[in-house]
Amino acid sequence: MPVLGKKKIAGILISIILIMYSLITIVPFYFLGVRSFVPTNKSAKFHLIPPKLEEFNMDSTYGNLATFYNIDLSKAKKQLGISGYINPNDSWMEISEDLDIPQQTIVDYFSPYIKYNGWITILTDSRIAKSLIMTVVLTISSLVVGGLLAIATGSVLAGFKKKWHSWIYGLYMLQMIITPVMIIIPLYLILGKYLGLANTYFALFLLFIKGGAIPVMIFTSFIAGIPVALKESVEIDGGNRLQYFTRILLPLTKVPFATFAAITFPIIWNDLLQGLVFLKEDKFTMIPMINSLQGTFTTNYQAIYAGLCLSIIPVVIIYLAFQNLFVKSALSGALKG
Amino acid sequence: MTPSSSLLLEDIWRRIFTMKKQQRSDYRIRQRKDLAWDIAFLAPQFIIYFGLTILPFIIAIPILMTDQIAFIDTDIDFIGFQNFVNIFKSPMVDMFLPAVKRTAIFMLINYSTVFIFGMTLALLMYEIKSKLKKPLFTIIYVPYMISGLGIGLIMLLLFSRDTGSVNLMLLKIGLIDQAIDIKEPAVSAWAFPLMIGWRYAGFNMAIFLGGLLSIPVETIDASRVDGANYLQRLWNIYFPQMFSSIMIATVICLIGSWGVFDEAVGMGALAANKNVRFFSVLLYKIGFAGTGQSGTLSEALTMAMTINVPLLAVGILLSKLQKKRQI
Repeated sequence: MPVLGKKKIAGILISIILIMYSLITIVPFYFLGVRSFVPTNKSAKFHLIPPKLEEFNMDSTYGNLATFYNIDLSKAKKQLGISGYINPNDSWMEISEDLDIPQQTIVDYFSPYIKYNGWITILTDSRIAKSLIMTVVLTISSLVVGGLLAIATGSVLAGFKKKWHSWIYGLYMLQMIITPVMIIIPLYLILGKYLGLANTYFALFLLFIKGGAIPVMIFTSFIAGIPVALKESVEIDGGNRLQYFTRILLPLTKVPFATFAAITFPIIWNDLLQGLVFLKEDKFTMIPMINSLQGTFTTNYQAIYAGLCLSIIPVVIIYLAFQNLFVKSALSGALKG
Repeated sequence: MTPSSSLLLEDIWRRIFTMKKQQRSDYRIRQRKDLAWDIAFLAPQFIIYFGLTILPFIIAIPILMTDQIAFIDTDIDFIGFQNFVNIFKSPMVDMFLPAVKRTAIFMLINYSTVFIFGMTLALLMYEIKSKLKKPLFTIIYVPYMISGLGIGLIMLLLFSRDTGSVNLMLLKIGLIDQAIDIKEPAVSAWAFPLMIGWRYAGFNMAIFLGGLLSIPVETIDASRVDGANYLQRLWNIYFPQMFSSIMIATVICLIGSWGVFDEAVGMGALAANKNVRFFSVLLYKIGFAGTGQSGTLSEALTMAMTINVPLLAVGILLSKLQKKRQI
């Protein structure tokens, strides 16, 4: 076998290091998935794969279900038609005999919770379903409207034909160094007190469409590359700028819009601070909702992990779908500075 | 010249004059129309942007000088610069300075991870040519796609003392005999920035990789011909020509470190974990989660502006510096 050149060995070593780093990066997410299946009473043991599914044992006591499996017992009582106080030390066998509830009903009700606690809790909780739907609606509408506004902004600023265009562009670029934390208190004054938009989705909507450095940068630089001849052709045909915008500009900006959406989607979806500040619990978006699952005394960690998985999946799907755009924009955006 | 031809000349001259006048007023009308269209297209987003990004700073100024206790407070009095004095006196200073110190230390360690993760990965990725580049980039970038809250929760999932998966795994293998307690102050101080560094690894790597790719290959080849080894190339060729991207990464890290919030909340900052109560968490607690007993609204705003305005000034300065040095 020919001796490998020094350069080739270095190349292989580098690849190995990078592959190892990538694997280490994936490990936390793997454990996240596994842990969403590990009930509390088993969480002090190491699990490489999800544990064997348990069967519901009629001898387990009423109290155990709350402590070890974080099951919402008030909901269970309603479902099973139990009212009144139950001694936490009573086993379910005793309860079924005393209150004349068929064993099978009890087994059927609790089995899924014992087996897939985290996921069942998440998937059957109506608050979480509503939160998910509203988050999707808010995100998509913010992306569409925000994108349109950014294209409009970019269509004017492209090329910086006037001095004051550069000033406006500079103001938008300031957003890159203004974090939400910096201005959150006066923001609440503006949106909450003065505009009366506290606890509304509209407040978040406005915050998501306001634009900033990245959207304006993307569209300004793209539209600057559109041949002026296209604009002139509209003028010659007697059209105004609105027609230029709708008939020529919008169809052309599909690719930068995809880039904009791919970059902005995680920013909107993963927002925590603004959701916490401007929404109350009944209107929480996904990430504040998952945060609110952390109780003060007992926390259903499997539900939190399952919820987290749920919030990660859409982002990762979109991310993988727009992979090419990401790599290209990430590398080119850095050159612009 | 005949009389008729001079009249003809006059006529032509008058027509040209009128035409030019018409052209000038047409031009002015077109200018005005352009301006109207410009404003029509810019205004919607700009009004929202200005109102939600720049305006907050402006309206904060008067409030800094009052004693407003909470958002609903109506009995507001002007107290001049008293707030600025108050935040440096007990009891406010006992919350303010520790949080600032904690965040400053975090910022420094976080900045080092920008290079430990981002620069290292970028330099490594720059050297490999294989098809692996794209899938590697994809995977390394993934943590940036996850919410900050998720990252904090994952840290607890992996490293909490009793149930952390990594702890359990290492204990089982026998590599350690005592679990790492992520909630211990000493551990938290370096583990937290490391985790943030891991989250932004792909992001910083992209910035530095972009900078590397913009270096003219001739300069690298020339240095190779001159016999420079890798470290010499790094120090004399790569880094100087990456000044722009290093500046960008610096500004983003600097500003972002003072805004770290989601990850801290994931680690329990709003619950019982005192070690991750950074500056942003303090502001949130006083502004939104307190009952006015820990501090008034105007004091919280004063604290915010005391840190943020110098921060912004530094950020703007560094950005201008970066633009100036751009070759």
